[in-house]
Amino acid sequence: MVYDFAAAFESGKALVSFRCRHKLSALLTILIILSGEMIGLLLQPLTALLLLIQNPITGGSSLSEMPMNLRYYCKLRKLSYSTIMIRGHPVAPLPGWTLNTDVVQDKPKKPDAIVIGTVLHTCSRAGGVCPRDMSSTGEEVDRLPKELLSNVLSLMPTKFAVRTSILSKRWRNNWKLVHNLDFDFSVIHHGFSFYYLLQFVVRILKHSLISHCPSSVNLPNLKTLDVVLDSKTSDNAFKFINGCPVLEHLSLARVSCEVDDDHLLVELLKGISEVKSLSLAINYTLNDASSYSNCVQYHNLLRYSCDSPLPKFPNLKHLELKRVITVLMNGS
Amino acid sequence: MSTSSSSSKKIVLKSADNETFEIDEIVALESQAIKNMIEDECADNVIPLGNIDSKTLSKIIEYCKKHAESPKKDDNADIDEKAVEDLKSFDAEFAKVDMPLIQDILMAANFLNIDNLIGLMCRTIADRIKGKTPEEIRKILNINKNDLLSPEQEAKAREENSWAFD
Repeated sequence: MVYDFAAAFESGKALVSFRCRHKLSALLTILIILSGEMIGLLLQPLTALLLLIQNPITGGSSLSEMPMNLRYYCKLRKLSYSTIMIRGHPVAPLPGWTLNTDVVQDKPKKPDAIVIGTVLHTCSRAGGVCPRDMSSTGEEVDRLPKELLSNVLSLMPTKFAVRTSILSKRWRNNWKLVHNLDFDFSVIHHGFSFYYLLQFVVRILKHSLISHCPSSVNLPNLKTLDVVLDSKTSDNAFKFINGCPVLEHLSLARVSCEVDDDHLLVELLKGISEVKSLSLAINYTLNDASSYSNCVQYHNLLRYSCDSPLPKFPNLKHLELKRVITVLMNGS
Repeated sequence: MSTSSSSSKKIVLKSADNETFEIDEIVALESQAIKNMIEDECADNVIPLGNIDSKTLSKIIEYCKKHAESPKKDDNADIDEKAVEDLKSFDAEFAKVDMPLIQDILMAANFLNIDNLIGLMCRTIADRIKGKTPEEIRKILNINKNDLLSPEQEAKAREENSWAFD
């Protein structure tokens, strides 16, 4: 089956019947409704939309028949892709999306890297700064103006930027120029907890980014956040993200959800309705394939009983959603 | 596919070491700074670039030519994927130069306001240093040996952000 999303989105009515006919999970449905609203009501701001569903339940061969390729071009000027690197193998972008069957296993392995978009242009260009005097020598990158150094350091995980603090005296505080924070919880080992992250972040803010820090919010000035989560940290992460009142770009990967946890996501979405770009990759973990249909049924019920409407996203220009369902295979 | 530009308007750039480069206006427009000059009608004569040497400038022109003749992504959503791939591999090859030149290009691109090139050079520097040991990074960036932290200072720096060093 290939769903005609373009037709469905053309009229809100078609969208409703689509939802009822094909039992997608509540989350996806909510998000489709959300996109439908945006397309209908907020057509102008929305310039990019990407929906991906990766569903390993059916196995590789029949995947092409699954509703995994939900591309909607109508009225959108541009469709953007992300490449998700899983253990060094780039997963092919749409179309021709291929399943990485390695995802289906007892325990999902940690990805080597997850690359979602870039954040280069969140920093203003260093206007009018002249190139170096041609006779100058010495340290190479120290010649760069701070704005460019800020770009460079922001293009790597924050951990690596922080590590430059021991390069030399001049480099001691350069890392504080970062204009985004990029943490990968999947590669942070024992001895590190969310508490220390918050401590660290508060310290950055005190040192370099802002002059005052209202105690009620965690990150009063943060605009870009790219977080890869461990399954245990979702609750904390949602609180943390809701403490960022001026967040403009959020990328949240590997959010692990129990099937009845969707309300947490709804709460999260409520707290960040001002974002300009949003990228979510959500993991659902099921114990066996047979519970999938139960889960879908359950979500339909949940959807109908859901009396807390989602917010509108007046500023959203880029939306990227990815849902991964992991089924734990035990023996046969 | 691209139309012939042999009859289009030419712009002349002059490097710091007095070498002149005649390029098509469409190529020069990749630079927002030059574009502004053209729009303000201040680009009729030679444009002197007193802080960009000819080696750097010729690299920048090579980049602008390639990007000027490639179809722009914004034009339509169904852009030829081959063209995108082609541009990507061009960028990858273009960035395979030594660190001093990368930095010269970055500074010049910043001066000329060529956003894509600034991004490419910043990414290149970031990719070369991320995940490397301090010693490797010092070598890559040619960091002054006389400016190193004392052992005590380094220990303190590591302790401040121990989470980043595990």
